[in-house]
Amino acid sequence: MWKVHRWLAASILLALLVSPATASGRLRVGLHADESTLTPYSYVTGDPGYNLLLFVYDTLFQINADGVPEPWLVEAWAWSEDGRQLTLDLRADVIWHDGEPFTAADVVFTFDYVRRYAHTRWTGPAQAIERIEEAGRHRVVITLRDPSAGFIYQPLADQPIMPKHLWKDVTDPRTFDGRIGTGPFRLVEYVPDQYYRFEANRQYFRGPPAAEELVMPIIKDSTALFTALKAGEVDAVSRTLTPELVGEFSALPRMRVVSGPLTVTYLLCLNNQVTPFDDRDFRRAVALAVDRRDMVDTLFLGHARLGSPGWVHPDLPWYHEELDREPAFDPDLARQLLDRLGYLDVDNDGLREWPDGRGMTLALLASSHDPIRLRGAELVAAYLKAVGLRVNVVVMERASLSARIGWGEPDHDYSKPRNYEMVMWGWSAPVQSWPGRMLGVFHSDHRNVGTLNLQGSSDPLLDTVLEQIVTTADLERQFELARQAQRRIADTIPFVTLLYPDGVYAFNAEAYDGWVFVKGQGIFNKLSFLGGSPPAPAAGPSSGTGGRVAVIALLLLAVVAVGVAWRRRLAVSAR
Amino acid sequence: MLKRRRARSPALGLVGAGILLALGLVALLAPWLSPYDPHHRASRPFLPPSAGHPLGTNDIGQDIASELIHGTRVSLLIGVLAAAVALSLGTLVGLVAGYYGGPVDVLLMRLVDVVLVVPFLPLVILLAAYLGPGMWNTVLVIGGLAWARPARVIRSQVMSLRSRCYVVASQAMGGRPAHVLSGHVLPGIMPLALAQFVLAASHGILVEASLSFLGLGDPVRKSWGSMLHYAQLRGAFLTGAWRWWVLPAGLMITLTTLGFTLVGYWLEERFDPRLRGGR
Repeated sequence: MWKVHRWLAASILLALLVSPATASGRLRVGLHADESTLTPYSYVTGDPGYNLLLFVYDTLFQINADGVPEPWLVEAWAWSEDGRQLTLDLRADVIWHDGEPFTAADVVFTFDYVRRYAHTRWTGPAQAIERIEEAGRHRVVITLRDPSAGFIYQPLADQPIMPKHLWKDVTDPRTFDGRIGTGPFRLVEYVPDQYYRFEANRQYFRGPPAAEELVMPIIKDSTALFTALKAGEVDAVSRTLTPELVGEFSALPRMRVVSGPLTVTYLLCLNNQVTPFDDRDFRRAVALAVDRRDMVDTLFLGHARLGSPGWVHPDLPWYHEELDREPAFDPDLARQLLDRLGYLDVDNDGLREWPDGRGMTLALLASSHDPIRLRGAELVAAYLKAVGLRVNVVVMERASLSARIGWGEPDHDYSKPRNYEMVMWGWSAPVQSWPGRMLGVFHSDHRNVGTLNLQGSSDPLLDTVLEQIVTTADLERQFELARQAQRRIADTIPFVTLLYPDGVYAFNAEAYDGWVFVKGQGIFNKLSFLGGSPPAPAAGPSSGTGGRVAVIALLLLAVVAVGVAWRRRLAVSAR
Repeated sequence: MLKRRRARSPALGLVGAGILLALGLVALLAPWLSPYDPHHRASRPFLPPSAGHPLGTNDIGQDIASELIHGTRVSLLIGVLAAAVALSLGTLVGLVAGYYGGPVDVLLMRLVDVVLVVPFLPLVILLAAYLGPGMWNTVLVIGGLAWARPARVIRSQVMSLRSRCYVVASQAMGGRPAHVLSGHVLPGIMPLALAQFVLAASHGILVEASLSFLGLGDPVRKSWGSMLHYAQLRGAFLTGAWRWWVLPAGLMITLTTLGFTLVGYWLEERFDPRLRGGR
């Protein structure tokens, strides 16, 4: 009974919380995860946590809508001749949410702090700094250990700047709740597992943001999240639409659906260190057998881009266009290759055996947390069966799969042999944020550099090209090197890049339509509130109908449940 | 256990048996009954019902009606296997405890109590998550936790059989425990064990569906639970596809459980000495 009461209380609370706003300029955004107190040390995930963090904090450079960093807290910057020294002139008109002025001391403090107190995202990139000094109230001089082409991307366009006056005595950053930033919004209320409330920072140096108030109820279940959006209980959500919902939401009045490229990748990862995948021709046969167009159409109903053999997303400026023209899906050629390699069907059961005649079954691992990867594994197994390879899909729980292939353990030695044959895998958007990130995915030094080299490939020629990328400051030259690397990747086929899903977002355009799609990353970012028109007053009573219907249904359910329980009790006592 | 107030008519038992027979036939004839191979991608994904696909297609274009028909096999198989595991364990424990009595009985029955009071579903979920997805794991988890109730029921029957003349006579003539148990006691508990088996199977089917729905079963195998799993993950409740994707599978689970339960209660009433007294 208690449970029913709690349910009722919770649903009524939710109905109150998301009831139509009366004040103008309030926007309600459904959030798919709880991100704790939103300090650089307490936020939880990259998406939506990091984006939410940047509502409150600013970075020195900001990734713009084209995915390129532009100066933000910085007014002017200059590299020295040798490419090791960077002079930054900061804006003088920036103030913290508590009224204190923002100065060079805060910047120096932040980079010193993240190097002192370890954090998975901030500490590594900041280690590139040899020395950082104040050279005036609004001037910072940074000296790097080595010239670095990616330094502007990371950490400068990534690291939120923290206020020195608040953090200078903090020795346990993970529990410190200091939510003061320079960003366009102030976090005024956070109730764990329930909601966040932000108010506009009217003194923001780029002008006040387009919404007076942001209310973000936390709705973790994706069906519930999209139901809330459909019913008008929220005006937007932080998560992309799943492909099957795109048609549904496009047809709704009030709702607008926008889509754009995401640099998220789906891979068929092959273990280059075990037979038969240590043979480039065998990997090529696998790549040729996989019908990626069919995967895009089936798994994402067309809302995805075809994987490039060079791994890089086709919308990125350093993409190698000529790779498009090569045959990608050719099962006949795959069969010929396998025949030539000696993988023949000796016992005429339609499936190939090892060259020595033994029965051959390849294991394809897939994590049970992602239905797309599971279904993708089923499809891959079918494609490979069509060219005569028997594939057994092995479904594993996420953590045990990671442990099996040796990914993500803090003390794991990536130079050890990998324990799998094939796995459905994927990398998140930042892994393609700039060409230098390719080093992590492809470099042969698995222990120190190629820490994302899950496939265990090693190619000295590719290493040389990649190493040049990170020390080349000239952008065009950098992109040219990245194209050479893609050519080499397409030739050596360390894994099969299957597809890149599109980011498809739905929002209530009547409430607010100033959302900005940042290439590769989506609409849930602070640029969406800088430069648009303010949100319209929230829609009238109609928008709450869905919630009310749900509450009434719940009430009815509760009445029925109480009735049944009561009758049962009567029956029991009668006995 | 509460004594039921009046005996059920055998008609309900017959209805249950009819349902089971029909389902058994469907499972047996699945390849001939279903319009497509359930693993074959017959059409475009997310199609609504049509003449070619009476229940539409799922998220990768497989025919839902064929999935449903083939799901009968997996669900029945897992239910029956889990029940077999549970019954083997339960019968063994019940026989030993009831026959030997004394400290052995006390020890085994306290173990039964422990298993009975542990919240069943959370423990199953925990074990299934720990062992990982897979048909045999599901069978072992369900069977390994559902043996306590049959053990208790069988023990009480064994205790009543133990003092029967023919059992005592066999003992008096020097029959060893193994001989007495297998030759004289086991036949006596068979009907009751059958009733318990049927009830355990119904339970097993329900738990298997729950586990698969939560993604803890084998998601590659076509069972009703895994159909519901994908339906829920792929927005069936938002797009209206639940009418042909969720409802039929849910009804099949309900029907199967109902069939087993009706047969099980009917058998139990016929053979359980404590329930028979009501006639």
